[in-house]
Amino acid sequence: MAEPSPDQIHVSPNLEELVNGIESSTRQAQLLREQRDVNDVVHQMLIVGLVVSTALMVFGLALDIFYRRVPPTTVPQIGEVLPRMVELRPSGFLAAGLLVLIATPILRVAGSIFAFLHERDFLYAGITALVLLIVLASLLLGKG
Amino acid sequence: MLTAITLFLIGIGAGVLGALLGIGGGVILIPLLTGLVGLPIKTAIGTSIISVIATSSAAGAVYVGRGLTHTRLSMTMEIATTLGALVGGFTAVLINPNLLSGLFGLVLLYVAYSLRGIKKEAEDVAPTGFLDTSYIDPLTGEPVKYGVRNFPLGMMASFIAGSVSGLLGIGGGVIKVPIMSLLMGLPMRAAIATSNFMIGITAATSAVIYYRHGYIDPGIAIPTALGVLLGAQIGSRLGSRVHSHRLKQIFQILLLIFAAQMLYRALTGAN
Repeated sequence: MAEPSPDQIHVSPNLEELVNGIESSTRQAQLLREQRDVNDVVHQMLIVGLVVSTALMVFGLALDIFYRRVPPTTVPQIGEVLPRMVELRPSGFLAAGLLVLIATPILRVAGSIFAFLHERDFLYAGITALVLLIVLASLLLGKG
Repeated sequence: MLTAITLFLIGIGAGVLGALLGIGGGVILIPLLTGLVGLPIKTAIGTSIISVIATSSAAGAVYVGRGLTHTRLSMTMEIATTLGALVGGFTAVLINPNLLSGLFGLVLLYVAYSLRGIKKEAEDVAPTGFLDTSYIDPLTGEPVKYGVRNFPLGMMASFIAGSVSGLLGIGGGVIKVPIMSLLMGLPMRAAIATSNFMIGITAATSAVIYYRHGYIDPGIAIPTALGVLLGAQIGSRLGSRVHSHRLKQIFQILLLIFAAQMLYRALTGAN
């Protein structure tokens, strides 16, 4: 916008330095991320799962108290959970809280596959993938 | 409402003990729910499985955050234990459950007896060059370095533990902690944190199946689970203030209670 002046010629090497600086700092950040242990990923996933499931269960119970109803004694089918939540029915939130709680360890296994891949630890990515496969197989076979 | 409060309090107790000892707490929860609250066994099992997951995740968040969990070892052992649970589900029909409960009760008595070597741990725990890791002992502030020994034997034992859990419908922490502590050279504290981490995934697999078959009563399971979530937070922090050898003693008592339950099952045929 300003007219070109000789000052800008002095600026350009600084700019170059700046760009190089950003590049090397992102490289460092990337390196740090790779070195960061898989434990951090697992730790964060567990906390997110706990907070979300607790919030859903407490909200469901609060709705039950608000409607002056006793909590339900059966869980809705998995496909019915979301529609019930949309209708603000307590049973939907209670079931969703339980399902998030159940899903947390399974998602933790799935998440650590990516964390190991990111660390380029292919042996452990494979081991974790195998665990997930066995879990999925027993879910499909339905014997537990 | 009164029942909900009772369940919440029972949940806190089960969560504290479960997190402290690295077990699911079903051992304590199922008799309390059927005996004290008078719930049918089906509902008690459904509630127990949800509570095992709650204990594992809530205590796991604390133990993993403090570096007490051997995540790589637990992920490797999860292969054996989930595979065992899968096989256990199929073979359940082939074995007389009373005979199995009786044998298992005797094995637990033997394990409780083996755990008596309280002072031995300090000499046994050392790096082995295999899956070496370390943690800062929260009580003494000293770093503890250790490695894994008898890995193939540990994997085999873990497979058997998984299939027995599948057969008897228990979390399996009660077997995993002694395997890691006695056989694989893990310090008691690490064995508890690592077992606690593993039981969540094992229980989650069964929980999905129980959910579909209508074993889960939200009016019962949710107040209990909320109590367990709180109790496990307390238990995992409390564990840091308890000496490793004291943890071992509490675990021995638990084993004796569990062995008595199993032998009772075997003799009366109550399954």
